[in-house]
Amino acid sequence: MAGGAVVVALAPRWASWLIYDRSAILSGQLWRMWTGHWVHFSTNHLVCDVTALGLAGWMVEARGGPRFGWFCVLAPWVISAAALVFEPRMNLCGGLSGLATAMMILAALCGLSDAPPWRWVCLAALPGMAGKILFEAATGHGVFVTVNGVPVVVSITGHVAGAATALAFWWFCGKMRSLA
Amino acid sequence: MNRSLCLNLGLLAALAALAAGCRTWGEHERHRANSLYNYLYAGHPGHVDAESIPVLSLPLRVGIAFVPPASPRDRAGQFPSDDATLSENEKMELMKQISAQFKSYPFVKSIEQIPTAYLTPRGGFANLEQIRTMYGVDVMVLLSYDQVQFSDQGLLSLSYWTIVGAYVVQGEKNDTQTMLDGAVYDIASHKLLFRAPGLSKVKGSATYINLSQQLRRDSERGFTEAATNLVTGLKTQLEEFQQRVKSTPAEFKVVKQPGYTGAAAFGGIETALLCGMGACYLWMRRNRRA
Repeated sequence: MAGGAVVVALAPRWASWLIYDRSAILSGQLWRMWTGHWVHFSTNHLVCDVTALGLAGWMVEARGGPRFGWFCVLAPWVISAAALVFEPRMNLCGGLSGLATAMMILAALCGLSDAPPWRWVCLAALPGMAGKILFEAATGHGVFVTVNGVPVVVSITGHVAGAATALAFWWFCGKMRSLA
Repeated sequence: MNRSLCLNLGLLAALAALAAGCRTWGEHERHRANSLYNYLYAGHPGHVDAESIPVLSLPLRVGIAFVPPASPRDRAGQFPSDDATLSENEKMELMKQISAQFKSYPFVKSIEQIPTAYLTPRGGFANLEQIRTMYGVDVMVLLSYDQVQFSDQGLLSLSYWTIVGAYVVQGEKNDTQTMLDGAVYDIASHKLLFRAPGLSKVKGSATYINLSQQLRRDSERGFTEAATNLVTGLKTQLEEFQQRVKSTPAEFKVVKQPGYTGAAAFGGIETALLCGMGACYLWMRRNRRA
């Protein structure tokens, strides 16, 4: 996913075909629900998101989870579907931070079963991320944000959906392990 | 010979004295102003608006207009001469100068320059509601001004006695002080969002003959410089207003208009914290292997 974002950043003319575009998605261009996460609005936006996704994804992948590939495939769809439902007035969207949030939450949840001190780090990270999302939602932080001259509003739904997806995935994997 | 010379000199002196006297008896001060308070609250002197929370629909549609003068229009529909300070053309130029600085903000969708003719003297918020319907603006920037021009005669004005001096010697000292005030109102809630003044002071001189012309030029320059300072003031107040909106969400409600662009963006702080978490994980994995 991180590599895809870098490729799209190097070929910006693809961005218009890949970006999350609500009206295009509703008229049948469903691939945008997945590829929209690759589109970024500035170098700073790309670097922050790719770094976050790369680190969080590495922490999860290093544990060798059997269904991590499925998570990478399904999570972008879930996040975009949440945006379609809960942000009906948002026409365009881009960025990996929804997925990065999902990875980070998943890494922290997986770390709860590890030995300290990593378990404590994960225990601190979870309420920290929850607090950040609640703060964004409550204060509307980021409503006057510009990203390279593009007028944008930070999509809080993506972060919430990412966190919910990670929680659901972790619970499902736990259930599968217990059944096995 | 001596008698006729004396008579001629005396007549000349009387003429010069008359010319200087006319100027002495003329006005030394010109004051022009319009009042935002008269426009908004003239009909309701004791009125107090109920507390309400402004709803800001981003991106904003902004209107900008000069407050009309207090006197009603004449039969021809023209404003009286006390508004001859600024012609409609000059007002539109000033509004263009101010608007150009704010069009680039991402949360400003459009800025409409509204001619003064569309505003009713003492029209108040009812008039602003009509403008809102007409132009589709949510927020209004109301410009009011106060300009005072002083004109005094310096020592060089003694040369007016020569008659020629009145044409060539700049014996008039002019001082033009201008204040241009911009108040930004949310029309629906009648709430003043923020305001800023722009001040200027123009000093100049003129001959007796071209005094009016020079005063007009000073007046125009005074307004242009005040508009430049007003833009700086508005930008500062706008930044403070943005901080206020973020820090006191109970006072302002921000709503996103349909068609906005969203960004799933990780901030620098969150990325740095994640980097810290990653470094901690890496250190623990190495310790385990060791």
